[in-house]
Amino acid sequence: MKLWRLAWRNLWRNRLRSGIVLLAMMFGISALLLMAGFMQAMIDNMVANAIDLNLGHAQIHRRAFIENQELQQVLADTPTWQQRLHAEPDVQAFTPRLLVDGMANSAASNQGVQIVGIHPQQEQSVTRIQDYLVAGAYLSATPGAALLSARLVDKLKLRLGSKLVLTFADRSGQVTGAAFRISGVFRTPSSAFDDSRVFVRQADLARFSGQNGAHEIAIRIRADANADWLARLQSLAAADEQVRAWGEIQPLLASSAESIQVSNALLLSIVMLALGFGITNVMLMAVFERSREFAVMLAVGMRRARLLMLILLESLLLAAVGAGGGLLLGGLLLALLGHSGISLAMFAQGLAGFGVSSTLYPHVEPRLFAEVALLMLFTALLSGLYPARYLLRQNLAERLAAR
Amino acid sequence: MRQLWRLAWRNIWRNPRRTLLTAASVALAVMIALLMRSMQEGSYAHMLANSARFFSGYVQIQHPEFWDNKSINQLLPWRPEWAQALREQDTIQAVLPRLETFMLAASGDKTRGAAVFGIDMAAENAYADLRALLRDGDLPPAHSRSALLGSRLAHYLRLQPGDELILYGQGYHGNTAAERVKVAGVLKHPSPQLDARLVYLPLRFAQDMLVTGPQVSAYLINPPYPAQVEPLAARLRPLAAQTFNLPTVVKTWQELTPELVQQIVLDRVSGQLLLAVLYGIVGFGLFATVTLMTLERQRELAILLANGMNRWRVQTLLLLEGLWIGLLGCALGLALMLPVLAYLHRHPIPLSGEIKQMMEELGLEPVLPFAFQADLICHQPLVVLLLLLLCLQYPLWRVRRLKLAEALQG
Repeated sequence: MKLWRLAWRNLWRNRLRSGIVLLAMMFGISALLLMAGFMQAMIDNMVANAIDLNLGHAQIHRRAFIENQELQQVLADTPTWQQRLHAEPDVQAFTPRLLVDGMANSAASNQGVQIVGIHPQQEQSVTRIQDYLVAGAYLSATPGAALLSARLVDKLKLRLGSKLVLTFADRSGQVTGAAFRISGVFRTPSSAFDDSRVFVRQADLARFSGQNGAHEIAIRIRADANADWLARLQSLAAADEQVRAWGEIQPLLASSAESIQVSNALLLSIVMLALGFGITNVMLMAVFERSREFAVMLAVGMRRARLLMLILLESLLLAAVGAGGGLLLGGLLLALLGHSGISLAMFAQGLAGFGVSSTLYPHVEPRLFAEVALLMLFTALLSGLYPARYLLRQNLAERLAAR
Repeated sequence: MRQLWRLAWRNIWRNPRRTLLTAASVALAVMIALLMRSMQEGSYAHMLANSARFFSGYVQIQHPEFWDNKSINQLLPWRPEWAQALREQDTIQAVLPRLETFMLAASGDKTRGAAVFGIDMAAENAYADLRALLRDGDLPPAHSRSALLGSRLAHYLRLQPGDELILYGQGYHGNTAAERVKVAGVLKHPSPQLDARLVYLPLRFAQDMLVTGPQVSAYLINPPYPAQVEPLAARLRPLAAQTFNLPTVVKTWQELTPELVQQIVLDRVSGQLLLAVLYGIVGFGLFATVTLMTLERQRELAILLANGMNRWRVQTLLLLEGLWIGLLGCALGLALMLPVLAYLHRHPIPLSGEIKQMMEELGLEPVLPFAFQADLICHQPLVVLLLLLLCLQYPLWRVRRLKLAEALQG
């Protein structure tokens, strides 16, 4: 089409002017992609950490346990659950846990903790605490070993190999103290997790508490699982049991994962609004300069509608080039930083409060690229309307006479 | 000079649409920046006030080793008459004693780890308005042997006011602490983690039970305004050393809640990055305007020069034109935004739905507060000015290099 070519050529008549707007678009769009990528990385990391440290993708509890966390409220039949879960194709791994609320004591201090009785082999196939060991080793078959965080060990003024006394109420309500030896120390990206948990073997905890079995089964789902995996698992549960996905267990976490949509929308609208002003400004200048030229075009028989089209096309082409350049630059930077990662070590403590690691790998959903491109074109179209309207309202005969 | 200002003012209105568009984009940036920054700073102050009210206070005096392990063995003497003397100072709103430790709380066959705080009920209530959080019963009288429980803990232990609770744990220097305690009241603490473990006891009773004698873990000292924290802490350091004649540390909220500090800084930095992008884009528009205003008038500027105007006067003219546009934008933005901010500052936006629930779970009053601070407001025109000076470099350079003969030919 001839109009396209005309518009394209017109764009490059004033290179400085078009160049400034193109630079503005490239700057705005690539910065937008980086910021969105950074926020996405932070949220994804927070969710992934919560899942990898403790939650798994889903958990099974007795309803009464969710309600009041009583020691007696173990799952009625853990072995049957184990068989069922083994048979489920979507389940990658699972781990039963015995949970007892109590205190960790040393001569120096005492701290309230959740004592988690685990099966070390199975637990490692669901959670990744073993990746965060800073001293000693993960729990093994040796009885009487305890695994806890460096933060807790420091607060208790203990060391690897020290004796740790855990106090809790046993099945009969008697307060019991049990001595464990610290066999491993970890430091995860989540301070809340680190402050509140001591891991011991399920067999040890069952012996001291008088309560066998499991309160909780955490499940890791395969990456290629069917969409209905949750419904399938829920159909296996008895009436007094509940299977919940991670988002239901931690609604706060799930809603912050959803809030990324809102913050992206905000980011997009601010950037587009500012760019829209820039495009309008430049197109208005272009129209001012060329009003005589437009008058001539009309005088020799060009229709007003086509003239309007021409201006909108110029605006669109400008935006297309700018958006293309911005997306390319932003994509390149994202690829680079997504590979090398950004270190936020100076904010490590604050991030740990959210359960976020201090090295982040920015990335965005591919959909965002398309959204940015479409929005940019739409913004350009809107921005072109005002200059076009201005042009059509001019008394062109007068312009033609003017010199 | 006045003449130059007037000339510059007239010049920018030779193309009113361009001037208005550019000024509008500056105004837009100023408005968004003001709204966002005041919302950010407002919510930080909100978070801080909540954290100080319900958790750690603004300033604490502690035994030097207490902070590392929260041990019941690292205490300071409790001097009520000294606390009273502090309270009478203008820069101090509240002095609250805290004796804190971890114990097991049991009722029937249920047991749970509990965070036990011995507090001055009357002073704490006066400062943090505990009564507003009460769900059942009443605050324990100062000399009673009764407790105030977090609602989640009370629910778990199935306890109501009038029932008995057993506390069991370690007292001072290895003493065993075990007591039957009457439940006086149940309160809903804004932090769910603490609400599930919280036991407040009258200070005297806690001291008896834990065999500490007249000692406390910390003095919480709160000034009326957060801005007074640093001078207050500086004043308390020598005073505390002198009063206790013991090694002490004075910690401010920044040290007591380093996570909160970093979260605030992180959020502030990410907000400022967004504003940098916004101002950057607007800067490009500003650059386009001031550059084109120069380039399209090369001939006119050359005539001014040829007629004997100094080059620096021409440059000043361009500078003033840019300034007028920037000023116009700032004035427009401030005029539109300041009344809105002033209103929002007095009437914070109440939140609803999921966010409301989320805020409540985080222990925050579910409102969106806005700060109305001079530094935030002054900051924006400064940024615009800086941006302008940056944008003007190229046009000014062009004028300096303007070749008269060529430009005059047009």
